[in-house]
Amino acid sequence: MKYCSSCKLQVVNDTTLCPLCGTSLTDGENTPCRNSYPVIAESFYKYNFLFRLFLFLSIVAATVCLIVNFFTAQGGHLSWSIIVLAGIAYVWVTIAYSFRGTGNFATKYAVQVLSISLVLYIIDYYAGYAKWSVNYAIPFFLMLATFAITFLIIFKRVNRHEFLFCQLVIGAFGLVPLLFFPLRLIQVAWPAVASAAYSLLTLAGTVIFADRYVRHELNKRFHV
Amino acid sequence: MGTKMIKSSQMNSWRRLDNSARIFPAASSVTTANVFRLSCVLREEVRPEALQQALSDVIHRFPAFNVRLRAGFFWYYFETNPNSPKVSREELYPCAPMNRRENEGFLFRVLYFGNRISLETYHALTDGTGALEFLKDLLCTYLTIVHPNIPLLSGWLDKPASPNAAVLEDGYNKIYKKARGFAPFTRRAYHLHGTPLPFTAIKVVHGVASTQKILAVAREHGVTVTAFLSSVLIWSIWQEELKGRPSWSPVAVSLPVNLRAIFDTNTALNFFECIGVGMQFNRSGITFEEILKVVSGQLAKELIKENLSQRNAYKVRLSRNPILRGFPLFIKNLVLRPSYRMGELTATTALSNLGRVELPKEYAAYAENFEFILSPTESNAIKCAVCSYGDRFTISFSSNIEQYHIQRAFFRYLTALGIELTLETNYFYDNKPVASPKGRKHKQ
Repeated sequence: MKYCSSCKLQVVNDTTLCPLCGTSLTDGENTPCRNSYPVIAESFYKYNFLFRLFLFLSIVAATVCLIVNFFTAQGGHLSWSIIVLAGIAYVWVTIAYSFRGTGNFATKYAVQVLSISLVLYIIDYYAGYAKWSVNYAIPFFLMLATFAITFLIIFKRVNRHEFLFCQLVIGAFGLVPLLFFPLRLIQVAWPAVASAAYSLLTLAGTVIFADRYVRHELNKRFHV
Repeated sequence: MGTKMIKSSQMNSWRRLDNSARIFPAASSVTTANVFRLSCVLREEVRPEALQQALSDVIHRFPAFNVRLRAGFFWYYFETNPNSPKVSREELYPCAPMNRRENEGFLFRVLYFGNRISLETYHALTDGTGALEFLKDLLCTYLTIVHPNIPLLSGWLDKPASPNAAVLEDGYNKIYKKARGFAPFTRRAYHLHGTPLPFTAIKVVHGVASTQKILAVAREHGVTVTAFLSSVLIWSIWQEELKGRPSWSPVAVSLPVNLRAIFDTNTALNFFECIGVGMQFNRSGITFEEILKVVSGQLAKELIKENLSQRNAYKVRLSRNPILRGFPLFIKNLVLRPSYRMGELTATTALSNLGRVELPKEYAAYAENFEFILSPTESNAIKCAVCSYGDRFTISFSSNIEQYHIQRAFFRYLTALGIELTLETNYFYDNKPVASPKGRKHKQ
């Protein structure tokens, strides 16, 4: 051990200066010196160059698209550049939230379903607005999303409790196309009705067959 | 998807956070880790694979630790963690912020480095006393794996696999008695100044003294060890930071008190209450004896059961208020975060006394010392944690500023009283760890 004559105490570390006052240490008690903590020479936060590069390139791409679209379109009406912007935004939501975020599976799944529906609508709107998204694409996509979770609950044996809550949330989403009627968004009725009916059946099935489970999950996530 | 297909084991059990724990997920950040470390220095080098085996055994006996944190709509909750925790080699500064994605969602780390086994716990799980039980059990299990010849006499490791509900009881709710009145108003305290260290870097200085000697010195002054050490801390801050001049803001020390003994409740969750002792330096020339008298007077007053019960009643009443409970979690967080900060502003520093650590005698010879470290925060840049093991009394300062002036004054005051000290640190002049701005990829 070493000894500091200013602080009048022994120092265990293998060093030449007193950690407290910087005085030169002399030899102390006849026991070996040791450094029992790791030396940390690196930053905790990695400087993620790739992340920064992609972020910068996204902003560059979005700006270039907007400018080119503005000066080439007739009357300065933006069209295709908005679709590009929506695509870039979707990719970032996926990377930053779905892959790297701390949210649970149900929320992440719900956010994905919502953003894909939104992207579909934006593509439709800025590519002539033939209303294929609200008439067909979104109802069918919601049905697919509901079915995917049912499939996972039945065939994937782990994490059922996680998917079950998701099923309830996505089931509720499937009812949304019914709102397209009062909003006068759609001309074709049967896909929206089919989506709502399928959701209703799934919700009913979930509550009837997994009532204990549903109660447990709701209790857990909504306890006051 | 019949009901029979759903096995009850798949229904992850969950529990509410205890009344103290609720604030931590809302208030924690990179600069406010709310992580504390308990470590044991063995007399031999740690064997990682045996430690891993011990951890895998022990985790099932500690439901308070075997959880992950989830956000519900109104409150956070703990859910049984289906994964298994891993031990890792110590590579970061002590008490690094807990990342919810790190270590399979567990809110604690078991680290090894040389002879030291460290348990770093997120404060939402439990307090120092609860974590010490876990570390002791882990340690004894580890030692029986490494030394199969240790006689298993003490009945330490035959705790039931599924502990009774009392272990996971919220002590605050249990002792709650209806009472009027609010938490006592406390003035904003003086705050320490210094050059901040890089993010998450903390300086740790352990000063090891003889327990007998410290007890004798405290007795000489006619006060408890906690009162004596708090007074030395207040004195050091006044002399070093304020140069012994009068100050408008008081120098205050926040002291966590273990409520288990006082209220006769043995819970594995948080069960502590922070009380404040402080000195208003309204004139110069105040002597150490005056501080000692004021501090031990305040301690005696605050530690009365009724006073602690009154503080608790206010907090439990808040958490039971039907209107407040109905706000969604993100709104609660918006309120809890600043209120935690405001609470912290009432203290200059914190001093936590874990008390005496004891191991069953079959194991005691293998352990050299126990250490206790708190994580400093923005407004409490230096914190002090104390524990004793046998005749080793370890005072550990942790700080997130460059300066060592308070620690130096504190230790010099003790040595001047004839207390022999041995110093150990993680951050010294010729081997100073530097966080480089262009750090390479950090392995986790």
